[in-house]
Order: sequence, then C-alpha cells, then structure tokens
Amino acid sequence: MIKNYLFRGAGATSEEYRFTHCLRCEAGREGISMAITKDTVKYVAHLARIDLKPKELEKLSQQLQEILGFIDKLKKVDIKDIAPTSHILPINNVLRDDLPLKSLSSDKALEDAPERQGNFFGVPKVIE
Amino acid sequence: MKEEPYKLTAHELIERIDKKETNSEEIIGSLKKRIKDVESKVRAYVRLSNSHFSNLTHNSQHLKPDTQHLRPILRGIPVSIKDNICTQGYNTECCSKILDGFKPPYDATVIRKLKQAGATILAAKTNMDEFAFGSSTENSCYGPTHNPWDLDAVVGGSSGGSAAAVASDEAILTLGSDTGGSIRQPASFCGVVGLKPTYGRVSRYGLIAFASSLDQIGPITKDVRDSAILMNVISGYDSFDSTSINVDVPDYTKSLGMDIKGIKIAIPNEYFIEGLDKDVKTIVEEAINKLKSLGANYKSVSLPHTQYAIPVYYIIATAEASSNLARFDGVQYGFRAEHRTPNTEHRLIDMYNQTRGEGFGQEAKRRIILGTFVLSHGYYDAYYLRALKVRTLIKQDFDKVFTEFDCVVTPTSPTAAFKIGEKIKDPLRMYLSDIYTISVNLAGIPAISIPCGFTKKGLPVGLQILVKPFNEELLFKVAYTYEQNTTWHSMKPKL
Amino acid sequence: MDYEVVIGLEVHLHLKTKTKAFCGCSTEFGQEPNSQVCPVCLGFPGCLPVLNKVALDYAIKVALSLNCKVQEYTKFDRKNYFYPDLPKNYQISQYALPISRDGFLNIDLDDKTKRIGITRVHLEEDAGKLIHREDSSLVDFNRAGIPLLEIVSEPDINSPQEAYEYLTSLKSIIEYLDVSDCDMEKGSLRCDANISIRKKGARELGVKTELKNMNSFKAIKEGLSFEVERQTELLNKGKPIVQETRLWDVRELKTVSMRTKEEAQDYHYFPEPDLTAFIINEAQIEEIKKTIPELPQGKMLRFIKDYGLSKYDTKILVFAKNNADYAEDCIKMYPNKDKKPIVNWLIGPLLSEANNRNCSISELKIPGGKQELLKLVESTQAGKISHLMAKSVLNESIDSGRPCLTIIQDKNLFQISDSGSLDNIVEEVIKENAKSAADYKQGKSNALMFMVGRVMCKTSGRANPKMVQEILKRRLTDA
Repeated sequence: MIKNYLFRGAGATSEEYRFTHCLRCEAGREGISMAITKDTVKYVAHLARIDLKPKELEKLSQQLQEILGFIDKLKKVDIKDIAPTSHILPINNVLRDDLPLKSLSSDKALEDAPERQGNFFGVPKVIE
Repeated sequence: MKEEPYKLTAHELIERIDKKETNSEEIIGSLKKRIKDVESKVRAYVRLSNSHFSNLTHNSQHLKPDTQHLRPILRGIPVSIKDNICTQGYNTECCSKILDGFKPPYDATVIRKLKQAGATILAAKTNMDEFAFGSSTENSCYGPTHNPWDLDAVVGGSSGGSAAAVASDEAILTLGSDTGGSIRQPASFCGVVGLKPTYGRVSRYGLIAFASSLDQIGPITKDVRDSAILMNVISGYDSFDSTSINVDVPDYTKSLGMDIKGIKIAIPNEYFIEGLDKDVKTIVEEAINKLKSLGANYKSVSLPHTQYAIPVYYIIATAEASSNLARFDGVQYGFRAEHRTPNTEHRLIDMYNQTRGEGFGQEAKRRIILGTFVLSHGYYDAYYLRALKVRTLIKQDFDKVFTEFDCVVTPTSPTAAFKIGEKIKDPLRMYLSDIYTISVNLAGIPAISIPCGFTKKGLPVGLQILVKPFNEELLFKVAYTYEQNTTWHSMKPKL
Repeated sequence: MDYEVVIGLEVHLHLKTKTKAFCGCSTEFGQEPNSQVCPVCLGFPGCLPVLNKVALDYAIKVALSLNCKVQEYTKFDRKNYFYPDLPKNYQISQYALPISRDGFLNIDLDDKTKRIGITRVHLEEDAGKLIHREDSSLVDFNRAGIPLLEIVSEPDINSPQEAYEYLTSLKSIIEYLDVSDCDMEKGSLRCDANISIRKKGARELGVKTELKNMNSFKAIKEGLSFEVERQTELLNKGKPIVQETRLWDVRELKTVSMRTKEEAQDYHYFPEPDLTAFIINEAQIEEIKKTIPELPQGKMLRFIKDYGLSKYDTKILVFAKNNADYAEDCIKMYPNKDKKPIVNWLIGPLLSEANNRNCSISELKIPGGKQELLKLVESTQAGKISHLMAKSVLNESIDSGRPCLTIIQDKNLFQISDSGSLDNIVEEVIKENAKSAADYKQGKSNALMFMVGRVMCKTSGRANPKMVQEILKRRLTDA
C-alpha cells in the first residue's frame, strides 16, 4: 500500500505535486513486488557495518520500501539482448609501467590515524 | 580600479592583472571582505573561522608552471573548492562527521593543475551535501547553505556551496562535482554557470568518490568564458586515473564564438511533461525561441527511456557509493567512535558499526543501505544487472539523437529553488527532482546549465544544453552565444 | 567403509613485480611497517588504481604455462567485506571474467601421470598484515596492494601425497617462469585447502572443510592427512561433518576449528568501475609465449628420451631450472653414452653439497668448473679413486679453491688397485687380527667387513674396497 503523501510547505507547485504523485501512484498500481522487511534492512545494515537505532530502522525500512517500489518500474523494460554498461568510456587496456614512485613516509601515512602504535595503525583486537 | 574586484569575473580580473590595475593581494583582500559581509547569511563555506580568514589561502608558487600545456593563466586568481576534492594538508571532509579532521597527504590532480596555472586555492572549502548525496545541500553536517536570491530557499546540491559562493560574489571561480546533476542543478538554482564535462575529460584522482562511473569534477562560474578558462586548466589525461581519456584538450576559449546558424537543437518531449513548473516551462521555451532567433533550428524528439533514468541512477550510484564509502571505518583517518563495549570479542565490529552509525548522516546511511541491498546475494540480477542494461538503452537514446542533432536543450530542473526544509523529509521526492540532469551522467555526455531567466518569485531558472561526448566546444559556443545575447548572467542578488 | 578423499587447493602467489598491482610503491619484503605505502594502496579517499602491466603479463605467462585458456576479454571486480587489513574494505579481484580458466597440471605418481584440473588463474591485490597484541591488533599496509595470482585447482586431488606433488610441481613451474619467489616463509606463496571425503563410488561430494594456516608443503600434507583421519573417524562413528574452516596447529599437529562465522560471506561482487576492461589479443599471447622457457615436464620427457635417464633421476634434476640447465650441460659433456655415472654425481654428491651450502648446484663454485667435475667423475669410473674419496675431494676443492685433480695428486689419493700391494697389506691385517680371521672362518660375516675396514685404515682409505674384500675372502678361505 502506497502512502498518500500530503506535500507540505510553500513552493510545491501543483504541477510538481501531480508529477510526483503520479509517479508514486504508478508504482502503487504496479504493486511493490519486493517487500523490504525490517529484517532485511537489519541484515543489510550489518553487511554495511552501520548501527541503526530502532527508530532509524523503522523509518529507513519505510523509506526504502517506497524507493524500491518506485525502482521496480524497471521490471517493465525489455532488456532482451541488451548488453550491460559497466564502463561508459570506449577505452580498454589502461596500464602503467612497473616503475617505482615515491611512497609516503610512515609519519605522513599515520598522521591522521585515530590510534597510532609506533609505526602501525592500531585497531581493537581481531579475534579469529 | 573602480569596481570592487570581488564583483568581477576571472577573465576581467586577468585583464586587469595584466594591465597592472590590480593584483593578487587586492583581489584576495576584496574577496575576504565580501565573505565577511555576507557569509553569515549565505553560509557558502565551511569550517571558516576568524583564523581562517587570515589564513584563507594557500598556493604553491614554487611549483614550476607546466608551460607545455598550461600558461599561468590563473596567476592571482582565487579558486574555491568543494569539500570533496583533496587539497594536500588542508581539511577535506565531504561535509561529513566521519571525515572529521582529515587532511589529505596529496593534492587532487585538478588542484595540482590549478596550482601549476598559478591559481590561489582557498583553504576554506565550499559547503555540500554530505558525500555529494543530495540535491539541496541540506545534508551537510554543517547545515544548509542559503540561496543568495532568497535566503529561505535552498541552493540546490550537492555543490550548493560553490554555486552560492559564485552567485553571492564570495568566490571568483569554483570547482564542484557532478554525479547526477550536482553542478548543474545548483548552478540553475543560483543563476550561475555550471558545466559537467564528458566522463573521462577531467581526472577524478583526488575527488572523493561517490559513484565512480558517473562522477566528474567541473567548473561553476559567473559566466561562460570563465567556465571555458577553468576547463582549459583542469581538463586532460591523467595517468593516475584509469578512466581519464587520452584525447587532446582544445583551447575552449576559442569556441566562444557567436555563430550558431544552422545548429540543430533537439527538444525531448519527455522533459516537458506534467511536473514541470509552469513558470520554468515558459522561461525555458522563451530561451529556446531566443536560440532560434539567433539562427538555430529546433525540433521535438523522443528520449524514450527518460522515465527510467532515476531508478537506474539510484541503483547504480548507490551500489557504487556503498562500496566507495566502505573505507570510512575509523581505522586510518577521520572519526572513530569511542569504545563502549566491555566485551573484547565484539570491540572491532562495534567500532565499525558505531563509527559508521554515528559518523554518517541519514541520507548517507539510506544510500549505503540501498546500494548494499541491490548488490546483495539474490538481488544482483534483478536490480544491479538490470540497471546496467537499461543504462545502455538510455545511452543509445542519446546516441541516436546525436546522429541527427547537434545538441539537446532542456530545463535544468523541473522547478526553481524550493524552500529549505520542504523536501528533506521525503527522500523519494528529493530524488525525483533530479529528473532532467541524471540521464546525462548515465550516458557520460557533457552538459552545461546557464541562467535563462527568473520566476515570478524572482528565483533563477537554468537552461541545460547537452552535446555528444568530447564536444564541449559546441557546448561553449551555444551557451556563449545565448549568454551574450541576454543579460541574465550580469544580474546579481541583493544581499 | 571405503572412502574417497577429495581435495581442492587454492594457491596465492606474490608476483615478483618491482611495484604493487595498482600503484608505484615498492614490493620489497621486510621493510619498516607502513613505509611502502601511498594514498592508493592505503585506500585513502579520492585515490584510484592503475594496473601494473608486468603483473598482467606475468599472470598470462603463468596461465599459459598451466595450459589454461587465456580469456580475450577480462576485467576486475570488487570483493566487498570489512576487515582491518583491507584498506578500502573491498579487494580488487576478479570474479566473473578472470584472466584464464580450464587448465591443468600433470603430477607424477610412482608409475603414472595424473592430470589435475585448474579451474582458474586470476589476478588480485593482497591485503595488509595484522599483528596481534594482547589488547589490540596492529596493521601494516606494506603488503597491501602487492599483486597476487590466485590459482584454483579442480577437486581432482585424491590424497595428501597428491596435494604435495601438485604443489611441488606448481612451484617448480613458477620458479622456471621466474615470476614469484614462492617462499612460504616470506608469505609469497600461500595455500588453503578444501577437503571432503565420500564413500567410494559416490557421485556427490561430502561436506567440505576449509583448511588454513599451513605454512609449508609439509604442513599441508600433514594437515590434510590429519583431516582425512578425523573425518573418516567421524563418518565411521556415524557423526556428521560440520562445514567449517579449520586452522592447522603446527605445534599440536592437529587442526582446530575457527570460530564459526555467523553467516556465509556475501561479498556482493560487482564490476570495478575504476579500472577499464582488458582485451588480450593473439599477438600479445604469442609475445608472452616466447618468454616461457622449456618447462619441467617437457624437460623431463626430453631428458628421458635424449639421454636415457630414469624418471626418478630426471625428476630430481629438473626440479629447479638452473640445476636442470647445469645438469644438462654436464650430461652433454660426459663422453659416455651411459649417463648414469654423471647423473648419480649430480643428484648425489653435488646436490648434497649444494643443500649443505644453501645454494643451487649451478652456484657451487667448483674450481675448474664442469670440466674439472667431469674429470673427477671419470677418475672414479676408471677406478683411479674411490667414490668416497672423490666426494671428500670435491668438498675440499670447493672450500679451498684448488681443483680436484690437483688435490688428488698432491695428497696422493689415488686408489690402490694393484693386487700385489693389496696382498701384502691384507696379509698384515690378517696377522694383526687373528681373532677376527678366526671369527670369519666360523661364519661370522661381520668380521670380514671389520677387516676390510682395517685395510682401509692402513691405506688411509685409498685401497680399492672391492678388491680388498675379494683378496681377504680368498686368503681366509684358502688358509
């Protein structure tokens, strides 16, 4: 179910309202084919190593639900025999010679380190 | 020297410097005064403190100018830089808490080129949406920039600070970055000139990445000539960037002619549908007629996959961003959350989770999670791979049009600047406002936004011109011709 | 219950390029921590990778040498996961379109040759190194960005011994190509294994265990052997095998379970947008083929065919390329058709000297070079000097810098082989050792060897031991 939003604030023109409202209704008519549950968001947040507070999780799940619903319109496109574009430039084989360049000093490398131990970056102990 | 230097364009200042009518110190001094006068209203810059004012600039005049390609054309000219372009030894934080205190140990290639051209780089950076995620500069951890034309309105984003600084004469030249419209849309909201180069035209080395296959650095300036001058300096092949193209850089200032007779302009139907503000539509149509009166011809065309641009963009851009932002984890630089876990076993994972949970703003988190989701196991084909294929279709739409037409002309944005706070709570609505600029990045083509009028409420409107890859010369020609036959570019906000 | 062991090996090799995979930092081992780093390999914001041409060439070279199909179109992907030694929290690797696939490597097993399939060979970057302290861990990024070649075998290996053979064969090839140091101690060669067992004849694979932390070929063999036993025991007891990762404990000589991960890793691979794709054409492949020397397997077959050597001997000779080249020179120079004598010297005393001196045969500084060596060998063949004596002469020659034959001459080490002289000495020994003589006559054969020893002693080792034995036997039996 798509929420019907009431656009607040001055400046939202009626045209814009209708435009975005139409886009949303379109998604609503097609139905959200992908239900992104709070559990999914929690799992993905874990993959991305981001702590979400319960309120954040709730809000984010709703917003992502809506965004994905809109994104789902891509399912309508006929992509048969279409090659994916992962590089927009018509270039290949960009290489460099195996020649050494100046490295940073350890001091420069560690200058902004949140925890420096000697010439190392310190992190909480890695337990394997 | 009658006019205050801060009011002038770079090319006017260069002329006056050459005539010894002014000099670097005077220009910087004038700029500083202007910033002191209006910055509290506009808030175009970040981390600007009193000490910063005295230390506002840094330059490396000891750097030998590269006389082969660049002449020290920008000698004495200050350039303001968006907070996501690395400047050695000076804070570059993408307006995010998670990069708090980060001072890059190296210069971005564009910065090196600016220095070689004699420019003075301002140490204070311009405001932006955090990590370039946004269309209003409201996602900055420093708060929003205010539109010089209406202080209650947004400046657009994500290069809002740069655009506002140019509009308010707090900057002479600026650099921004554009992933889905982040140079052009703020330029249009602030009534200034913003250009996104062809993907690969300008080196990305040193630009803190948002979406690697879409990002480009570009100029935001007071007029088209300044844009051409800046493009001359920053363009070109870079051996440190595998995605930078090895194609000669012409002298773009030579394209600033005024003959556009016979230029064939395509007007895409899909950009003039419901949702385009009536005021903006009228103004843009007038601009197109102006171009016609100057000798160009126009015809309606279709870019049939336009409606899919936003979903494609928000899959590809967020997917790449989620990976590009994985490095912000508190290990090597920036913010690290305090230890709160007594349990040693979980300390590392907690460090990651808490650092990123506290260090990223809401929009950043939203995009990272969306991006991770579309790449994750089981969804990759349905979302990411599908988006890459539709991207091909979007590019093909443009390829087809460019076989028959020289350029495409559209409004830059469906509306003029909206009020601060109006869209920020509704992410999808914010995303939908990028509708006219996004396809350009997906196709990798260059585009410029130039001022073409004002709404009834006095807000600037931008005209967007698109050309095929590496044809910035035509872009400049058409833009310059229009500009010089109108007066929009010389209008200034009352601050 | 009869079980079949199924093993797959994943080898990671540091390529011997001067600089890292994607930046110009040095790859030299053992430097001060975080001193061979730059914004690119540190993964600093704004940095971009550019692929090292030599790394790509080396990858193709290895792929061709392992009979793989080099792909015409190859590209890189990001492997995303979080770990402190991974500067960008993703590794630039290859997933969908690796440089090469579908190759094989032949290994020698006693009397047959077995083909082990190679699934893929691809390029990627290494991570940094972690050092664990009591309360924290320390990260050194010197290693981050060093080009790695990942070589994945098919699960065609059916015993720990086969795994060992596979690894030694692979190492031999890589050393011939001179693209990696293959030093497990320095970490330039790492190997993880996947092992499962199933009932003989079954088609489905058993539950897989991943094995890590094996730091030598010996440890790999031991670790796999331990796993075979452990898993067999479990299955025999009707207990299930848990899919897990286990570490080899080199002190306790057993495998230990790693903390089980909460979920299977989702690396969410996607194409690396910061690098272009790479098109590898025929011309480039031909150019690289020209740089590939004759490989161990080919050399071995040729040695057997051209010089009539045995498989066993040849295998030892060809293992290291410079040894093989040196050996071939010697074999060619040796005048006799039967090359066994010179081969025996090469795989025997020479290899022994080389091992003791921690170098290769070709690096042994034999005064007078190969010619002098051959003279020594010929001398032993002609019976002029005993084999034992010759070995000691060789050792002294290398130490002193004096040619072998000069030492023999100066020290008068020529073997006594004329029966007249030997007769007298034998008689002396019999007289001096009457009890031993009596023991022998009573059937104690040890006594004979004792008396041979006495003769050798009296002649300072110069008597021809075979002749001495014969003379002693004759004398004692006659008397």
